[in-house]
Amino acid sequence: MVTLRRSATLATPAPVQPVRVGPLERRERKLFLAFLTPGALLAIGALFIPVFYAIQLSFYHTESFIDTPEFVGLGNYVRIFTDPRYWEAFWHGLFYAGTTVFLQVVIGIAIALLLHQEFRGRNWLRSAALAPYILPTVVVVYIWKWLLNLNHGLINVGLESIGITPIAWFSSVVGAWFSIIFVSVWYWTPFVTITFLAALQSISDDLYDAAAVDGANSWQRLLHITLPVLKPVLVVIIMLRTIFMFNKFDIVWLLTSGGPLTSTEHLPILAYQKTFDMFDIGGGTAVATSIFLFLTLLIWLYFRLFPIEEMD
Amino acid sequence: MSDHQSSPALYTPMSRRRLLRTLGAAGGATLLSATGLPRQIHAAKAPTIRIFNNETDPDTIAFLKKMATDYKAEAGATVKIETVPVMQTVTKLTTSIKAGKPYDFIIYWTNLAIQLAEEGQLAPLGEIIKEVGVDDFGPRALRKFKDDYWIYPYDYNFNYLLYRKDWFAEKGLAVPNDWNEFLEVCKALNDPKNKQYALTLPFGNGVHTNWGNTAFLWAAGVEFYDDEWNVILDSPDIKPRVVKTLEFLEKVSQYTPPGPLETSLKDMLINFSNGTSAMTSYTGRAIHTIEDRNPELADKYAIMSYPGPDGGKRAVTYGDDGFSIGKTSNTEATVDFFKWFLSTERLIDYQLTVALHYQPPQYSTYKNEKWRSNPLIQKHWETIEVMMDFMNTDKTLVGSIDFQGPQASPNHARIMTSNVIPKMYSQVLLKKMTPSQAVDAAAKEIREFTTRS
Amino acid sequence: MNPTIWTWLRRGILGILIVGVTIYSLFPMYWMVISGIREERWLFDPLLFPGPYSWQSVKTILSLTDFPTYYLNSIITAVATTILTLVVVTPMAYALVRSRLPGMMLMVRAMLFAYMFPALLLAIPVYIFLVKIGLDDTRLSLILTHSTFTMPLGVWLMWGFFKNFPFEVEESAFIDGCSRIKAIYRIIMPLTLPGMLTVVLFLFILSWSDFVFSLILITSDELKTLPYGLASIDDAYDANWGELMAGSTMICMPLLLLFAFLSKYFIRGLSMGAVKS
Repeated sequence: MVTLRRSATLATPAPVQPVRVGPLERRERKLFLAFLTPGALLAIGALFIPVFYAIQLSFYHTESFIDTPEFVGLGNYVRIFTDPRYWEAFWHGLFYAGTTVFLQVVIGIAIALLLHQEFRGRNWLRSAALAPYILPTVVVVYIWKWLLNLNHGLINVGLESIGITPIAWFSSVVGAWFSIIFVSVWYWTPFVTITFLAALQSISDDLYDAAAVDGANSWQRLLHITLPVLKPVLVVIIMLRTIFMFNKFDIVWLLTSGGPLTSTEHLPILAYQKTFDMFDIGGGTAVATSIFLFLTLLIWLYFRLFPIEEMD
Repeated sequence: MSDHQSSPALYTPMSRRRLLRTLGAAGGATLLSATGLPRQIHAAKAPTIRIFNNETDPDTIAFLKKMATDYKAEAGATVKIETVPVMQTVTKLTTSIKAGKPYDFIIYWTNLAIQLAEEGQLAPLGEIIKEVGVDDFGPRALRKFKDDYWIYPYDYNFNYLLYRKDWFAEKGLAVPNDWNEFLEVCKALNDPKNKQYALTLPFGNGVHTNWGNTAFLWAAGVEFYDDEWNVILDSPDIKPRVVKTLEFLEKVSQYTPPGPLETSLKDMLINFSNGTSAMTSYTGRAIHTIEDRNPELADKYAIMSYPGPDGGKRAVTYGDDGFSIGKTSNTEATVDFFKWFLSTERLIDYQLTVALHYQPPQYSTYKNEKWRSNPLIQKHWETIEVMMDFMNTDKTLVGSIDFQGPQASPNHARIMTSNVIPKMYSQVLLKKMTPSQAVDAAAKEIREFTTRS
Repeated sequence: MNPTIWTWLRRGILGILIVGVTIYSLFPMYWMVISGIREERWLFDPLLFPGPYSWQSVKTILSLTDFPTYYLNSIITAVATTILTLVVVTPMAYALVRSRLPGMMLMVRAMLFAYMFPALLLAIPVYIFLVKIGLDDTRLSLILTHSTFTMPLGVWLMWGFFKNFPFEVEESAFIDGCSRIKAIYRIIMPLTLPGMLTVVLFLFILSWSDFVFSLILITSDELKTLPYGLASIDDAYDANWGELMAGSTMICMPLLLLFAFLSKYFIRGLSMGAVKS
């Protein structure tokens, strides 16, 4: 049986496969099409069609899902883009995405470096560090709402016992921002950690040894071997995490509902509020579509700057 | 590991396709068996009455399930109960209607009924209610809309204050009759060092505030609309009252546990029964909580309505729940079901599942033997008498968002879900706006979504 | 500096960091578990270490909701979703890596859109459509919708594995007369098994955690899943923090068990090159 062994080179993409020509190719094509069809069908039916429907709704004015819609063209978009509340939410979203991604990356790399060291029980610690990511969002929310509960949560009880007044983690502006950022970082950093750890592991020891023989110390090894490998991973991670965090609805909604008032409201929450609480489905879907367009633009820019995997 | 012995025939395109097809069929069969066939294949001849229920109390749910079995035995029609978390009521109801699968019988709250009635989604209940007798219903229990009734109320759900009469007695306090006295009482009962607070009151966005902390507004005579649906919240007559209430509430919030904006329904319930607060805003369910979690308090509590600013009429907030019949292909069958429900006194049984909480809006219920003889009702008869007294409109104003303006209207649901009132409170408590500015902002928002009907 | 002191210092710092990371990652879960089995009085006057035990919260939760049913539903749905997704996604990822069909990249990127639209707004049109074809309120509808949002992640992960699989191995199999499909199932999959277990775990978690689709698509009590069940409790007036924590613990149990069981393969699988960009 063939064993897969990490070759003694840096992690590079697999070499380009030669195109197979000949009578086999046409049969192959059909096969590959068959491979792709079920997924494509599922995606179209359960994904593209609903997205299309939701986008379509953004061109109408409806007050509830049982109201008869009236066509307003771009009216909803004009309305939302001239509403200062929209831009407030937009910047909130950028700030939230920016800080959480930054912290996730910094803490994630730090923990990955730690987990890369040799010590007893390392595998166990790796599992432990990954554990938060395994939990369902509702559970994470309940745990932290309980820990940060104003009167009875452990954190505030602890603060009180050392003489600090309890902090309103959800009903003060600063507290609320801190809560959503902290919980988001706690919850999703393991994803970054594991990704970086895998990348770190893919660097063969021979390289480090060779560098050491050449007289490089730890810092230089870090700088010239580790970081360059991490760079492409870093780029992908930052992009993906930014998209996810900008669009993250449930954690912020369940923790603060965008409150107090609208101080932690970002675009996904605004979309939800307009659709379900403010009787403005057209406005809500318009906001959702604008998020969608913004993120698409972001992805397109990214694929421009860092074209990946065209060659494989 | 690899099998090279197979004949070359296996690698022809023909067999590959066959292989794929077999795999697909096998997979599909497995999935189907794991998931069950679409319901249409099992379509029954007899109608199935689908009930939407947003009362999550386990006793109520158990009762409804038994009722379904009984009805099946007696009338042969299937009744299916679908219980939904309270917070998801609007989403589920509107989605089901939109999808063409409306519920036949709905258990929920009034202002949502008006919204649905406006969209033509409900069957009128005028006949049934007139049979029972319009006069049997207490003040403001029935809501007329477009000249008919659309919801049959089963629960007044008055929001009032529960208080520790033993602590009042200890400190020589009497039931406060105006706002100054109220603040005095709060001061006397507040002991933050020992984690004891005077009062638990909600201020954040949600139904708990719209229902649980609007009584002071009603007691102060605040009104949102005039008879033509003009917003009068910021008018020269009303605005000072709102401002006065906001200033008063700001002072009161200092006697509540820290984090008033975070206070939830849970806190309102639990804080009273575990001795954290001397008073709390709630309704009969709190008494059940006492019985369940801290029965020694059962004879140490009493209830009161909310005092007005200068003496005079007191207030409670109305928070009704009721039954509606949807306009569906099963409406006739559902009407039969509902008539059976009423004639077999199952309404009483239903109300008795959380006896002190579902306060009956019909005078006849209070005289009904079955209802009166329930042990919990007997035990807390004093409280029941006070509750009945709230129905006396000379002494108490029954206020509610639902009563603003000339008649029932979808505007009320909008005031609720847009959270204009909690937002006013938040602005003032967070010191982001002065009370006057908060009122102006609220009035502006209400004008934006008010329709003239 | 004396090398021995340096070593001890390094060990010390390492030790502190290890303890720090452990507490940071695991303490909240520990707190959840003991809050669920703590006597109510001590919930509001917390002790750091397990104090007086009481199963009351667990009992209340079990009486308030139909947890066993929710459990079963969540398990069936998550398992079926994982299987369906794997079956759909494996050939897809393989085709992406080995073939040269045009427009593939576009489609894969398009699937990322699944993560860019608020799920609630998507669930509603899906529900309407399902009602039209009579499939609403069925487990199948849930499985299909879950698969939609597990697919993009599944494709991405499997793609990473296949990409790093040296073509030479396959090539030798072809030379021996093996067909493509056989190659996939007989050769590639067994070798990437640890990695696949990773994918299984991720997909399972995604399906297990779903709340939105369960809420919208399911109306019958018998078909409800766990997150929906927990949300019902939160709304129920009688539920307190103790019960919420007990309920949360019960939801997490299978996940944590699955994770503990698979973590060996998981860690190994990741280092097999799940991440290449």
